[in-house]
Amino acid sequence: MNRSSARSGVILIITAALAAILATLCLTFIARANNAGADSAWIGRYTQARVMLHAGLSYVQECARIGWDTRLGDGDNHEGFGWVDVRGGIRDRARFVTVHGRNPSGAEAAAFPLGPRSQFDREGEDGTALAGGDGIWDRLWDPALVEDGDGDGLADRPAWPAVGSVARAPMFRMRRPPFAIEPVVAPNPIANNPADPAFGLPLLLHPDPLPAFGRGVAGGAPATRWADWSAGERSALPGSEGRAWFRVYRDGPATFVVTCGCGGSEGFRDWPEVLGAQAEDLFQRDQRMFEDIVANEVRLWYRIEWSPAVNGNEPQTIGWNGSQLSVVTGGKPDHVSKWPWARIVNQGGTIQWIQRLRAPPELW
Amino acid sequence: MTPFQHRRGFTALELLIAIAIGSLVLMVAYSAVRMATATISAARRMDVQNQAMRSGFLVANEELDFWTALDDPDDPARQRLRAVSVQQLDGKAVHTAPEQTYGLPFVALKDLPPENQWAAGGSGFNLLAADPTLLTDAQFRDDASTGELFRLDRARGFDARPYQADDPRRWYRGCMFEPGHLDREVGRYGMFSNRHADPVLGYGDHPGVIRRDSDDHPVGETDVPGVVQITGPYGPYPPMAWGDPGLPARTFTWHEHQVLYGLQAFGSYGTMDYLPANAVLRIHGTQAWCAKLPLEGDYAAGVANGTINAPVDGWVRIDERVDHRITGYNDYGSCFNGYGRVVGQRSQALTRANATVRDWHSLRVPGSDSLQDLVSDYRNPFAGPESHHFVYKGEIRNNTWVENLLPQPPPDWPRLRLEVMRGLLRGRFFTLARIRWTDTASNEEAELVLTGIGTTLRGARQQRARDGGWAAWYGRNDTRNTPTLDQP
Repeated sequence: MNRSSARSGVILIITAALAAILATLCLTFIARANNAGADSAWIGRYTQARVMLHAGLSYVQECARIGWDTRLGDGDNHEGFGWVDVRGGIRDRARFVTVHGRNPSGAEAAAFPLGPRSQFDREGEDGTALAGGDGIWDRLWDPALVEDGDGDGLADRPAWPAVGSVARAPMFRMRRPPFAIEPVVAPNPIANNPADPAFGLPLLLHPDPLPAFGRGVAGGAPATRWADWSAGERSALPGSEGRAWFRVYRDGPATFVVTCGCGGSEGFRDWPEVLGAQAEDLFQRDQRMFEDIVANEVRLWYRIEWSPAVNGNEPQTIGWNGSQLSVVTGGKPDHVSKWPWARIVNQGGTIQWIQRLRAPPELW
Repeated sequence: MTPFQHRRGFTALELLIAIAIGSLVLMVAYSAVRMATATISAARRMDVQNQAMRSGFLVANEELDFWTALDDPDDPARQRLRAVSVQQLDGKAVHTAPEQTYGLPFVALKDLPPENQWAAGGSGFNLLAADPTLLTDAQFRDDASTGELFRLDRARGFDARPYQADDPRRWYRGCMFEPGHLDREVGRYGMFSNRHADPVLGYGDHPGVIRRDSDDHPVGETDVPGVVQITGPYGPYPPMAWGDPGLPARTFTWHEHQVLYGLQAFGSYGTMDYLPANAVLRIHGTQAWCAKLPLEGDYAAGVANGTINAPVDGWVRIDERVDHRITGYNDYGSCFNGYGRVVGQRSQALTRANATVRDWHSLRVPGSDSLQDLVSDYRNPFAGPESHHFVYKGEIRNNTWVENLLPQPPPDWPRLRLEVMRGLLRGRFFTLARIRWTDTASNEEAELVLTGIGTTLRGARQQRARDGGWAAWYGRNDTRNTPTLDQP
């Protein structure tokens, strides 16, 4: 080896060392950034799952009052009276006696107030059962086992919203929600010429927003009829699904396990449940892929109780105003106007308490 | 060729140029490495800063759900809020009267003293209901003394468990679409109302009036024994189950004694968490109305001689001990124009002068303050100087769990501080978390403030095992469930 090649080797070693140092630093930087990104992504999923708790609680509060339109099959939406019927079952009892000629058993009586019950009544005022009536007020649930929750091909749980049933709610963006509107920016100059047909009609020529009618929204088919527009196009917009979900298991009349998650499992508990729901295609019939998805999800379990009360606790002031018990006014600044939060009433009931579970329960 | 001729050397100029170029290359390389390391160092600091923020966010949210800052099931040293009585804390007796034997919010019910136990025959402090069918009418009215109250509650046989939601005693009895004014009281829990076994809610033109019983209907009015009829502004309300002859008599409503026991067990914050929603916490009236109130022992005579308006019986009586602690109003003077009085306080008007109440209260972990102060503040949140709800911010600062998540960080790391505060304002719970970090390089501060929904105190008590550690919950009515702090 001559001197020239020796010097070249030294230069090469120095250069390589410097390059290695720089490469190491870069790789460390990239690795750290990658880890930070992964951490941030996990925190994002955790946050999204917590947001799902809000969604789940709202769902429990609202759906028993908004009702359903699927089970009774009469083409109408039936509003409900809450998870436990605030009417207390007295009319059920009276009708039961009228229809059956005997007092109900304890179990029968206990089932009367179990909600949600329909706003409609399939019985006449005299207690005579109408067609389809069963002696009590219509209920929006059926205890029959119709769903396969463990993939064994046998029905083992009832349909929502019966006690023991599950509602699964994956989040996605609809192609066109029911009654969709569009924020159409429309100038509305005020016509100042009396001869103008628009004179006297400020701001009304081009209303904004407009119904998403007669045009497609987000790739969906355009609605051309009222029925199309009111029904919407509820399928998921591609790319918007597989992010967050919640599911609600009704374990008692008004107690629930709310599971909140963020990930691509669509809220399915496990692969057998996917099989039971015949939803394998959602996961390309790949159990391994589904389990990988679940392993990367954030899942939080909460136990909650719903109360039919429509307001929180409050120091309420009630008095006798001379003719009735009422919120006291006495001709003076009254309680309600002075403390306006006293009149805040929601129609969906109240979440009585919340308990985060440290481990998933057996049924959820 | 001489040896010198064979040695190929460098001239001085060559060496100088080579050294200069080499130095330049080394300087550039050094600068590059130094810049890279500085950049990486800055990025690392930012990364640590972000990591600290993320950690703080996560810890704050987990604290919302598990309450370990206030009570750590894994660490007996951090379970001071499980004390049964303030007498047991630091040997300082804040309250000594037997009826003021207080538990703290994480007390296990099994640890309560005999007077407050709800075992068979015990009076039961609990927030649950009594069975009024066990009482005679006379017994209901014979509650002048505290001892008698306890005896009566004992006689009523408290249920040892919180109600399930399917228990009719928990149901809301009103119309969900009631207007947001006036007659809402019939749609609320008459927490202090049901002192009678068979109350009747309203009749005729008196919506919302809770009557003593169905026998008090005016002459000529049709009465269906046992069936409650309420008349609201838009017509009759649906009949209620109370007193339905076909059902077991389950006339359970909340009772002032139960609230008092709740206060004794959990304090104001905890009691509010266990009350039914829509609880009516105070009922009172104008002077004319209050004048008709039956005082203890006067009822029978009042009815007999016509001086007492029977329908008000049962609605009204608030134990002032309860009243002071659980209500937050401080403006009765104007509200009642000086004529009103708080039921239960007899002739004493609750005004600014004599009612020093706070309208919010909070929980905090024992820290730098003396435990005696803590307990006093916690147990009697309205005892301090009168305050207005708009000034609660300062109180939040003073009642916040603060933890430095990085107690000994490297000098160039950001400082991280986490605060979690739980409070109760106007009957509504709120939680506030603040994550604050300081960049040691720039000395800049940043903070993230958030509020969120999480486990309530009642849920936190159900997370904790009665006999220590965390409770396991497998499912509703599952026999493997671990007994919790709420189970005797």
